[in-house]
Amino acid sequence: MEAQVLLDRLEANGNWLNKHYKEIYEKYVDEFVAVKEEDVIAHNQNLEVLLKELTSRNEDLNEVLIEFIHGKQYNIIL
Amino acid sequence: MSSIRIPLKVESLIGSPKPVLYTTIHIPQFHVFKPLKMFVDTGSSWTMISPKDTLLLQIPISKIRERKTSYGVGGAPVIGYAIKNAVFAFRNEERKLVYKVASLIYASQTEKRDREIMERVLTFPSILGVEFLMEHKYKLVFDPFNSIAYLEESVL
Repeated sequence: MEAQVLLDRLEANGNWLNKHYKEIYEKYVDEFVAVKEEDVIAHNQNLEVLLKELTSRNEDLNEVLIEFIHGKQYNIIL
Repeated sequence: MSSIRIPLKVESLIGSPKPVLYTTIHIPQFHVFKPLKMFVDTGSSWTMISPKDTLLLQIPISKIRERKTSYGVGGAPVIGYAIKNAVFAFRNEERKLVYKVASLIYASQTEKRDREIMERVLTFPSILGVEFLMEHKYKLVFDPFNSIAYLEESVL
C-alpha cells in the first residue's frame, strides 16, 4: 500500500475520532478503541485482547486507528 | 528565503490540545511500513515510538542491540531500542508528500513487569522530539487557543 493511501485512511479515521470525541469519551473512557470507516469497530481496556479480536476478524491493522481514551485522572507534566 | 509548512492537527490528547503529525514510517531493515500518529513534543529530546505503536508496528526489538533506558511520558521507565534511518512521509500544505529521514529514533518498551505500569505505559502516544526538528531545521508553531499548529522549514 502506498504512503498516500495509508495517510488518507489514517487521517479519515483520526478526523472522525476527533469530531466524535465527546461521545466516544463518554462511552469508552479508559479503554482502547479501534476506529475504521467512521465507526468504533472494537474496544477493550486491554490492548492485547483488542488486537486478538481484530486479528481474529482478519482486520488489516493498517486500516484501523487504535487509540486510548484517557480519563481525566491522567495529567502529564513534561 | 521562502518557507514550507507542514500542517499539524490539534487534538485532545491526555486532557489538553496537542500538536499531532499524521505520517507513515518506513523502517527498511525491519520491513516496517505503517501509518503512525505522533505527538510533537518539545519537552522530549528524542523521537520515541511508544510501546503501543512498537507493538502495532511489529518492530522486532529483540533484534536491536543498541538500547538506552529513559523515563518516558508520565515518568514510567522505558527502554529505547535504537533505530537508524527511519523514513517518515507526511503531507505539506499543498498535500504533496514530503519524505524525511530520521538518523536515529527509538522504539520503546517498558522494562517493568509490574502490570499496572505496563498497562499505563501502553497508553502513551508516540513522540516526535526536538532532535527531529533540529535535524530538519523545523520550527514548531503552536496556537492551541485557535487550534493552529504547523512545522515550518526555511528554504533558501
